[in-house]
Amino acid sequence: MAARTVTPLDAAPPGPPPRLGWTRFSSPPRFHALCTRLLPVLWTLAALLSLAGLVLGLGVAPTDAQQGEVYRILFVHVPAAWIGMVCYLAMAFWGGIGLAFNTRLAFLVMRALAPTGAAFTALCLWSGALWGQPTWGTWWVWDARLTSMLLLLFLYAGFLALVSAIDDPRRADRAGAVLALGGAVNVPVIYGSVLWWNTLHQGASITPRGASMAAPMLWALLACSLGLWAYAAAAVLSRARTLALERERGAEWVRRLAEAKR
Amino acid sequence: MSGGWLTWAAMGGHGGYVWASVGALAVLVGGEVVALRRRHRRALHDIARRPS
Repeated sequence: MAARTVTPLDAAPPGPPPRLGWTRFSSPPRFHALCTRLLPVLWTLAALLSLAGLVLGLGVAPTDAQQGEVYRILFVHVPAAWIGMVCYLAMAFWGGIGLAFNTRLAFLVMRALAPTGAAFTALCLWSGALWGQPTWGTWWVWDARLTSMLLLLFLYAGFLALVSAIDDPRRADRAGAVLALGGAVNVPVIYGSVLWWNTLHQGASITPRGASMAAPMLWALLACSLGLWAYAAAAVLSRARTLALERERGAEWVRRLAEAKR
Repeated sequence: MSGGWLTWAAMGGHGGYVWASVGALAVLVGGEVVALRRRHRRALHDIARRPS
């Protein structure tokens, strides 16, 4: 019998194939360590960029030719709307990942996104009402953009009520994920509402084709948006880190962490 | 000097609307940061009190 040629595959060590790198941070202790490293950077960026954006927006950007000074509400209203919508999409994404792969951390991130997203959605509606009164002559109209944004706030409230009403955290996670996935349909409706229907709310000022505002206004909006995005990311990671500690309180890594903090 | 600041803060007569928006943002951020810090500290405190 002829001797068999040894290939590199034969020489490979037995055992499971090496794990992909992208699953590395799905382990709660690694995620906790990553958050602890990222949070100071995010808090600092949030403070510096938000402050710079507000100074530029409230003090440097020129007066609007049509609306006068009241347009400066834009520097709060627009980032709040973006964060409210994207947090809900992110909730649906992590809820879907949690349902598909049954990962604890995906559900934790989904839960951590909800309070911040809800707060920014409420801020968007509040600042929108304050902007509507002097420009439209009314605090509120039942047009498609405003109504779909209010529906988003109700979806957040429903999600928070649902996950806190179910005692078993794993069942609560799964129920919340289903609600997040179903409610995500509302986000494209919010975005498209000013295109599909005749609304009192104006269309988008920033599109892939360009921006219909002066450069100083755009820079101020960019700084405010980046600052508040950094803030939202820091708040979500901070909440997820605490949720991980609360859920894993019996685990060895949490005990060691608590001992190190003493 | 203070007149200049007051004129700026009045925002052409719409200062109330603008500052109510910025104030709401400040309340949101301040409230959430305090709540997050308290919850994290409480979680660590509870874990430290558990018998090993």
